[in-house]
Amino acid sequence: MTKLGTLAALASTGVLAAAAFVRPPVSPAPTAKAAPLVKAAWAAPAPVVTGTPGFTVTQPSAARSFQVEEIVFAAWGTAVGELGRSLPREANPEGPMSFAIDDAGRVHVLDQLNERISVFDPVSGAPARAIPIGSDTAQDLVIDPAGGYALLDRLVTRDVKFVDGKGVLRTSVPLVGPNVPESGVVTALFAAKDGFWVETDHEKLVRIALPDGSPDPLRPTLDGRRFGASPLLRAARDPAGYAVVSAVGSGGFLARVPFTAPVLELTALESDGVTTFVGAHIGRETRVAPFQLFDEKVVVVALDGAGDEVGRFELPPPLGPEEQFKTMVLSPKGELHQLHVGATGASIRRAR
Amino acid sequence: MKKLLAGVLRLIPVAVLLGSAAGDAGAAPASMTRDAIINLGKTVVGYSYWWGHGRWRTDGAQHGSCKGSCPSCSHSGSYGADCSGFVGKAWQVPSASPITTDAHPYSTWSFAGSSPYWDPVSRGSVKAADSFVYNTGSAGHIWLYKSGDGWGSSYAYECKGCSYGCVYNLRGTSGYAARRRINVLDAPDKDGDGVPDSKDNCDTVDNVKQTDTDKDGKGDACDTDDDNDGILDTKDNCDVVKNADQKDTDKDGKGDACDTDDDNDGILDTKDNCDLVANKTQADLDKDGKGDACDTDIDGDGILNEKDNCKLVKNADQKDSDGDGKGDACETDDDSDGVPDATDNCPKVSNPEQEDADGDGKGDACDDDADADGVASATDNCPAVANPDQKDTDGDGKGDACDDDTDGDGVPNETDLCPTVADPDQLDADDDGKGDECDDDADGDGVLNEKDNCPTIANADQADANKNGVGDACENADKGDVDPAADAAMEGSTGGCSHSSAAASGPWLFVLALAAAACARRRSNLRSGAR
Repeated sequence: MTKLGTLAALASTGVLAAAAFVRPPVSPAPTAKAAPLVKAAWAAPAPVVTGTPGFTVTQPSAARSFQVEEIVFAAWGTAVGELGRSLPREANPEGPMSFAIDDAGRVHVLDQLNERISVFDPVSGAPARAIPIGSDTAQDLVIDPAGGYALLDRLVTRDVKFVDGKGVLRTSVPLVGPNVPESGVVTALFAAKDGFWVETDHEKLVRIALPDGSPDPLRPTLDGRRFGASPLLRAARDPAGYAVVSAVGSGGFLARVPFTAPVLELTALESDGVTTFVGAHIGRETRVAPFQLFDEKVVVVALDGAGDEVGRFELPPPLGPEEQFKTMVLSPKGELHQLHVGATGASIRRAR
Repeated sequence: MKKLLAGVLRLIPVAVLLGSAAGDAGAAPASMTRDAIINLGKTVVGYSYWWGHGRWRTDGAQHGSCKGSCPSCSHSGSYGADCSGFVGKAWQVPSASPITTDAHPYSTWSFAGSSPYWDPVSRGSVKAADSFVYNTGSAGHIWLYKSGDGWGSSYAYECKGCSYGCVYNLRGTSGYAARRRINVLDAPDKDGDGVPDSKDNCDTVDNVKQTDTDKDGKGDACDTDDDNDGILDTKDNCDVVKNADQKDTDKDGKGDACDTDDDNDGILDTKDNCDLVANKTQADLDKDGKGDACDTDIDGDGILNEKDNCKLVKNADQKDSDGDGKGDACETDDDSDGVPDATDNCPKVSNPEQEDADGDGKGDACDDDADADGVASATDNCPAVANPDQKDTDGDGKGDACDDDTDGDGVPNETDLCPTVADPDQLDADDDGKGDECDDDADGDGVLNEKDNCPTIANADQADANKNGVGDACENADKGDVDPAADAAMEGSTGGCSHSSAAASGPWLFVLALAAAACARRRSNLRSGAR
């Protein structure tokens, strides 16, 4: 077998995905600096769990065990019950950007590429309804306690739109203003009893709208995420393999959460006021070019009110480059959900 | 093998399409500082996505627009870029090119591959002006990295797509690999925060955000007085907001100026109806938007709390019936009669016994017609006993209904043989318990007084021998005994009356019986003083 053949064979296993380079046809001639290499087609590492609907995996944990189950699977497409995915040439790849869970456990997926919100039944996994939103640039959604949804569009219209249960626009509030100088750095949208808050830089909350959707002229800030009566939560990654979680206020704590591999990116910081969940996408990188990632996984650690770990479980890591704005949400019942983009479709997993 | 080669061949047209003449092979691009690259990158924000192109302006004008789904999209205007056109221009590869000159030397497939002009770098070592790229052959994207945030997300400049255009945003890196342009100068950066010392407002402390609260040119990270209020940060209870007075209402160590909950009651100041006084319940009695805890007129009656005799109940009149300093409106026992107002049948008038003659729930003390007889209590001759006729037999001003001696004869009704007719001597000739004054048949002989020829002496026969209209019984009584036989019988016994058993037979039996009855009547009359 030739060298090229060997690499191709390895690539086909996914072990050597993107492990080598081929000189672009129109690039300048290779120099000694860049030896000709073989480029394999991009391939995602094998998923931790399959996309088969209905599978159940019980994860071991320190004190509390979590059962992870897939409750919804939607194939890629535009038909009812399918979700949009885009892998364009020379532009940003996207999957469904965000999702929310309502009191009944129904899953509301921001299927922005199909310009709609798709609602799924948590028991049957079947599509329940679709709500047109007339936009493909919304990146986050929350369920409006007053009915309908609030949709975050941080890059084009740069606002939060309030739509009713049929997707009809009720009002909108601009993002840019006091305490939000740049809309592109908004990292989350939250609905609370006292209004609608956006998070900037994964650090600060700014209330931009009152409960009725009217603009908040004062735009107060909070130094962290707040969930009901929880203390203010903030998190930061330590690439060496930790997440540092601080809870400020009554019942506060400072926890250094260890992981088994370097933290590539934090994926969740949620709380039901009792248990705080911190999620991290972890993985290792080869020491030499092309610096391939391996052993990737998403690990979620549950902390109690004192910041002590009470359990942890694993979820599949992102398989591709599709941009997602929010991949994990805690339901009103305190169950953590993951919106995972796979090769053939997206799935919602529930951990409880 | 065949599969791989087929893939490569399939990609060639794409690369040819997206890549243009790439400059002199082997000629290294000119050196650039990371700052210069980022500054070029910044200028693309707001421009339209233009598939297969790359040019824009530094003045931000003429953004152009993109519609549809690329590559079948349509672009209007003369400026814009796609993702790889943008990075190629920002990196100025393969050679320097004005950003207003349209060029698209490389596709993402190019950037994902090897080149003399860029190198792969590990994620852990990325710096400003590096790029993240992915390419599968049929799809790809690239963006310019500026810095990272605490979660590991990236601040990025990118021409994201037709709908988005070219933007600056925080985004994830999952699925991407890092690339670094060659000949990038790491400007002196002592603190390694990615900001060259020449531009770093705090070149000895890592402060990538360059925050300079007081705009004094000295970054907060190394400014000892961030807000320039004259209080050193180490002692400033609000180091990023000017507050020379250091006011800290809740003493939580965080000055009010930057405390979102000045009174530490758990309610944000913006929502707190009393932001400087802890009032978790947010009670606001008069609903004036000012919490009771800091409202100088809690009940909103126009009387300041300090002067209000009832500060929790609206009582502009300040009425205080019992003069105890506590307004009636909030007095629990206005009349101080020991009965709480809530149960007092007459809360404003002291009536500890709670009399209520007519049972109408209104105490007699404050009831205009206590006995509900239609006569006002003030003029009622018997205010506590219903007597609509106001009858007052003896004319003593006290109605009969409540007069213990109705006839005013000095004998209480309860013993008066004739309670409604004055008869102080209480004569009762026939001893029937009904006084003679009110007895229609005083002597009880069966003949009504008005027809009786001897009304006080029983004479049922009405014998009147001399026909003078006065019964014999009366006349004989005046002269002597009318019944000598009976008298004789009585004389033979103690007390004038006795029974004889001798010869008690024949016609004498009836006579003796009459005598006994007469004797008994006489005794009774004697006892009661009967005439």
